[in-house]
Amino acid sequence: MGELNRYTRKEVLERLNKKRSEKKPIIASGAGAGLIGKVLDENGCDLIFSYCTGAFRMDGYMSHFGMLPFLDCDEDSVVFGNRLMRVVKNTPIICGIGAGSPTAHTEVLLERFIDGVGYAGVINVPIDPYYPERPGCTRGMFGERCSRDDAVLRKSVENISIAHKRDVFTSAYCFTDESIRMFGDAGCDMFIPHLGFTAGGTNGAVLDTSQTFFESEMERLARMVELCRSVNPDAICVVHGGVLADTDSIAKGIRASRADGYVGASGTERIPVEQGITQVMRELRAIRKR
Amino acid sequence: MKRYTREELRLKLQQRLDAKLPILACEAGVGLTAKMTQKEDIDLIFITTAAMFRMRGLDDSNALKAYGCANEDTWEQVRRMNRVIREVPVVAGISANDPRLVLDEQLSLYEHAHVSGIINSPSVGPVQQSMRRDFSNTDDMGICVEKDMLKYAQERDFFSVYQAYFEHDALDFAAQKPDMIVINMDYSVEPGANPETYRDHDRFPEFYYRMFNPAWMEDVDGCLRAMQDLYERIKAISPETFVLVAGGPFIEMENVRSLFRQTDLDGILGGVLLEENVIRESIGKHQAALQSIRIAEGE
Repeated sequence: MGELNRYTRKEVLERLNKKRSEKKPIIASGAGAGLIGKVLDENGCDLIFSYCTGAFRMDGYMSHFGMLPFLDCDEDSVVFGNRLMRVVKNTPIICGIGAGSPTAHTEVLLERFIDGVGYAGVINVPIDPYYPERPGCTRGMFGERCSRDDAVLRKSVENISIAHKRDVFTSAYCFTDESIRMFGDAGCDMFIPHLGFTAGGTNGAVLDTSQTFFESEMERLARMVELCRSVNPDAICVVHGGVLADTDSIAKGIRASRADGYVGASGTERIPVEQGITQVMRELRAIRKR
Repeated sequence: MKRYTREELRLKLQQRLDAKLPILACEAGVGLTAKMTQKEDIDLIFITTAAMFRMRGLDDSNALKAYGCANEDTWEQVRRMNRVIREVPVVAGISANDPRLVLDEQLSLYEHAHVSGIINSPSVGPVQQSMRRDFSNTDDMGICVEKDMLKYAQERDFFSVYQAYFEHDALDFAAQKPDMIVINMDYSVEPGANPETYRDHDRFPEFYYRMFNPAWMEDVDGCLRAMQDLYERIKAISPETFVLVAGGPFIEMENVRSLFRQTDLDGILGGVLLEENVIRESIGKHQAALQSIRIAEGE
């Protein structure tokens, strides 16, 4: 029986900054099943994220289901976190915290997440869903309503700010320049410029596959990373989503943007698992009986 | 999910065998496994709590411990995968010995979800011997309850799958003419695992009666001979029953190939083979690739 896998904000930052100083990429990943968390932990992943889109992703559904009324995202962070804490020995685990929960104050949620479960930090998931130009995000009337006066974004930022004041490690998916500035002001430790839902595999976002689009996404990423650096030169900056779906594009994305690393969810669990199972099934299907 | 009658399902599986193809079944702990095996034309998907625990990164022996109500958990798993599984017939577990089980209710739930078959999972098979030895009143619990449950499920037109942990149970059950018997080798052992770990069971003689013999991890041919022998004895009693094997040395592709080259077994049920080991390997390799990315070119 190992001791509890708990990290303070300082310890998480030391762990990540060590990677930066060694000029190695920070590799972080979502875990939608305990086994994924366990295997990531055994294979030297730097940071594990546990949030409500994970279980849907690992059940073969769209990550987007985690943003619809199919479960309570914060309850899921508690239940799933307890399970992950049981099998992840060395890697800090960061949990998703919803924006503006109707059932509990942020302070109460943080007590449950950090003091109760033993999470090492928080991230703004489910994300503010209204970014009309990004694939998979809520558009139309409902999107307008959610984003009225930036309501969801402001609540997300408020969560990060409260967590930061409590000396909890904070990270945030950022879609726009405005959100980078707001999370920066709230004291966010790790920015994650987000290119939208990840392409590739069976449930990926439908994206333009042209080289021109890829190049423009790389430029967009570089601009966002640069803005993160200017907002807070000490903050860690890792990239996520969209065209960053395979090892090659992830490597290009990290280099083009001079980011500190990559956060994957579909890219680090769903797509490799899909490919692995397909290959084993094909080997089995090739077998004939005597 | 799509519900198949016993007859339809039997026919579907028989067609595979007629085409000299083994029956491939997968025990899915997450929907993604079900989805991807379905894409590659799997024959059956099993939904059990053993797979659920493996996908939580825990030992599947937890399925036989008091860390959740198996029947409720299995139903939850069925609900989770209900939409992702479209055409492939599903066999779901029932923990028959649960004193709070209302069998008709559970079967109706499964029927509503279009589950086609039932397996006695989790089974008290692995603890039956100790229970018999240590308690006086075990008449209304044990394997016999699982047999009755499957008989009733079969009457309600569910494809019945009996997983046997003991040779004598497999033969005993064959007399009831189930649709399928899965020879459960109980331990799916990691490649390269220390056989000494498994010999610890020498201290518990009752484990000797189990289907799995630790020596088989090294002596696969011996295992194949034993499987063929058991297969023939089951078929002599019930020629219509499909006989599959799960676990043991058959979590490695090479041993699976040998199984169908050297024995007449009808198919394989892969839990560790098709899910846990694949995930371990794919994620491990992918992490190694990502971690070897150089931050700046030329450095």
